[in-house]
Amino acid sequence: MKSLEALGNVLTTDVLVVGGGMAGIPAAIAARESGAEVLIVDKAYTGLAGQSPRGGNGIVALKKGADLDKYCEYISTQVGRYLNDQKALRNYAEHVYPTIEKLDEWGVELTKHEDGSFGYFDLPVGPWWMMGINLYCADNMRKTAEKKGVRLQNHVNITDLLKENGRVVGAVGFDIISGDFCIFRAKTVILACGANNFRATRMFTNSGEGNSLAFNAGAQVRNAEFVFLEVAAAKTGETLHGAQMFVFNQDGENVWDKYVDWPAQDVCAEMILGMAREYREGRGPLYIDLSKLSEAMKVVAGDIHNPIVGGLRRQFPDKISWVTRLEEREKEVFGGLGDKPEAKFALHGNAGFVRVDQNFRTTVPGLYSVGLDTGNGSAIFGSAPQPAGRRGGPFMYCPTTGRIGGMSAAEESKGMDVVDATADQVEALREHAYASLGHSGKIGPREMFDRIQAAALPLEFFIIRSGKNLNKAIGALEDMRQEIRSDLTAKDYHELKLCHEAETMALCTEIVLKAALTHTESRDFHYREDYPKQDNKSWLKWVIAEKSGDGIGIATEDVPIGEYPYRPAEA
Amino acid sequence: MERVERIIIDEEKCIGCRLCVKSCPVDVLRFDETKKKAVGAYPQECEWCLICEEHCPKDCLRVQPKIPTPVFEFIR
Repeated sequence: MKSLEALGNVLTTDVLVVGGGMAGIPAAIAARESGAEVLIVDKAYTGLAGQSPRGGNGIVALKKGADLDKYCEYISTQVGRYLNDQKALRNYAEHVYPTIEKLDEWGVELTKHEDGSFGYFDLPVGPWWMMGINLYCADNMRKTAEKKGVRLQNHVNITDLLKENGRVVGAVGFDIISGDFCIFRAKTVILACGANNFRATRMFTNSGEGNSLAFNAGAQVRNAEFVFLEVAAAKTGETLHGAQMFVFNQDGENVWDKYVDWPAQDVCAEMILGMAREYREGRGPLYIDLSKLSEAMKVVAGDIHNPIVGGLRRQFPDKISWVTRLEEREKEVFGGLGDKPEAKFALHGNAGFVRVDQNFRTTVPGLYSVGLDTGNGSAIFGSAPQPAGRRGGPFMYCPTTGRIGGMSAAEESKGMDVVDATADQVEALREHAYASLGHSGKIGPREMFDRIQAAALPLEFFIIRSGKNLNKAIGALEDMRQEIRSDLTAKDYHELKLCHEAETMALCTEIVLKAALTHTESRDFHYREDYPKQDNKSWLKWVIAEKSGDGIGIATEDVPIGEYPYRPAEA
Repeated sequence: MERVERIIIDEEKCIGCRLCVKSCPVDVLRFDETKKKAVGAYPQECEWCLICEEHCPKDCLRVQPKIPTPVFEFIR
C-alpha cells in the first residue's frame, strides 16, 4: 500500500482549523490554551483573510451581568421567530462576555473608558450594546496565536475532508501558488470558512467551503432557506449598514416607518419587502437621507470622521485610515455617494448552514464548525439569516462560537490517536482536487459564476419566492451540476481555486433553494408569495438537508418548542 | 463580475516586502520571484477593498475601480 507521504505533503496535528479569520483564530487559540496542538490552514493569509479586515462596523456586545433572560427572549421571539435552538442560544449568550474579556487579552482593541473598563454604546435596537473594535483585530489575534504555538499553513485551499469509519480524520487540499497536494492528519477538524456570499456584494468575499466540505462529508445542514438581503447604494452595489431607517420614497414617506412595527430587528425582511413594494407601485426611486441619522444611530452608521459618540471613541486609527481611503477613491472616481444616495436592495448572502449542537459539533464525529459557517445551522438565531444577531453581530458570533468550538474540539482530541485515511481515499480526493485542470477548456470558472448568478440569484428567488420560480432555478442548477463536474476548466492554480469556489457556490445555492421550496410558509427573509403567512401551527420546523446519493436529500424536523422557555401562543 | 479597471504597481518604488500580497483575501496579488516585486496577477477577482494599499509602506500601489460597479439586484 502506498504511504500518504508518496501522495503529497503530510502535516499532522491534534486540531485542524480550516479558515484563519475572526472565528478560526479564536477557535485555534482556545484549543491551544486547552492543551492541543493546533494548525490553521487558510487559502489566503491567516489574520488578514476573510471578512473581518474589511468590516466597517462595531461589535454587538453584552455587558457583564447583562439580563440574559431578556436577551434570549428578544432573540427567540423577535429575531429568530421561534426557530431558535433556545438551549444553544442560552449557552451562546453566557459565553459572550467571557469572550470579550478574552479578545482583550488576545490583543484586540476594543473601546474602553479612561479607567480601562470596557466602553459600550447604547443602541436603539435590541437588548444589547455596541463596542468599537479595530480593523485588524483578527491579525492581532493571529500574532497571539503564533506566540502560543499555533502553526499556520497559508495559501492552501482545502477541497475535501478525510474520513475513516464514519469519523473525520483530516483534510486535503492544494497549495494555490506551488500547486502541491497537501494532506492534513488531525484528531478533530474545525470548519471556520465564513459562509457563502454568492459573489453578490462587493467585499463580501467568502465562498462558503464550510458548507460544502461538511455537506460532502455527510453532515447535515439546517435553516438554509434564510438568506440575508440588505439596503444598498444603487451606484456602488454596496450595502449601507445602519441606513435602513432613513430610506424615503418619492412622496417623502419614511419606508421603515411605513412597513416595520417595533420591536423589530434592525435588519428585517419587512423593510426589504416594503422597499420592493414601493418600487412596484411606482413610488421609487427610493433614497437614503443621511442627514436624518439620529445621534444614537450614528453609532451604527455615523460619519467615520466624527467617531466620538457619547465620549467614547468608536473607531480606531486603522479603520479611520482605511475608510478615508475608500471615500477618497469613491469621490475621485464617481463623485462619492452624496447626501441622498439612491437606495435599492441587494443580496448579501452570508449563508452558513452547517448544523451544529451547542458545543459546535456537526452531525459527523470528529467534525466541528464555528463562526458564520454555522450562522443559520446552529439555529441560535433561528430564522434570522446572517449577520447572526444583527449588524455588528458577526464580530461577536465568530469569536464566541470559535472559542466554544475550539475548547470542545481540544477536549475531544485528548487521549485520542491520529487515524490515517486510506491511500485509496486520498488518491481519489486528489483527483477531485485537480479535476478541473484536466478538462478540455469548455467553460472557465468566471463564466460559471456568471451563469450560476444569472440562473439562480436574481432576487426573485431570494425575496419574493414561489414554488414556480424556485423550481425553475433549481432545474437550471441541476442542469449545471454535470457540467461543473465534466467541463469546468482551470488554466492555473488560481483558477483551480475558483473552480472549487464555483462548485461550492452551485451546491450552496441549490441547497438554499431546495430548502426554500420545502418550506411552505413565510417567515423572516423567507417570503413565499404562494404561502404568504407565518404559520406557527404547522411550521415550527427546521428544514434539514444532507447528502443523498448524488443529490440533496431534504427533510423537516420539529423544533422541540415544548422544551423551551419562549413559545408562540399557538404552540 | 469585474469590479476594477486595473491595478497599478510602481516597480521603481516597490521594495518587494509582500505585505500587499499577504493582505489580499482573494489572491489578486502575487509575488514575482524573478523581479522580487508584487504583481497584480488576477485583477478580475479584485473587489477594491484597498487593504493592500493600506499595507504598502511605499505607497506604490493603486487600484482603479470600475464604476458603476455591477449591482446584483432585482426590482420588479
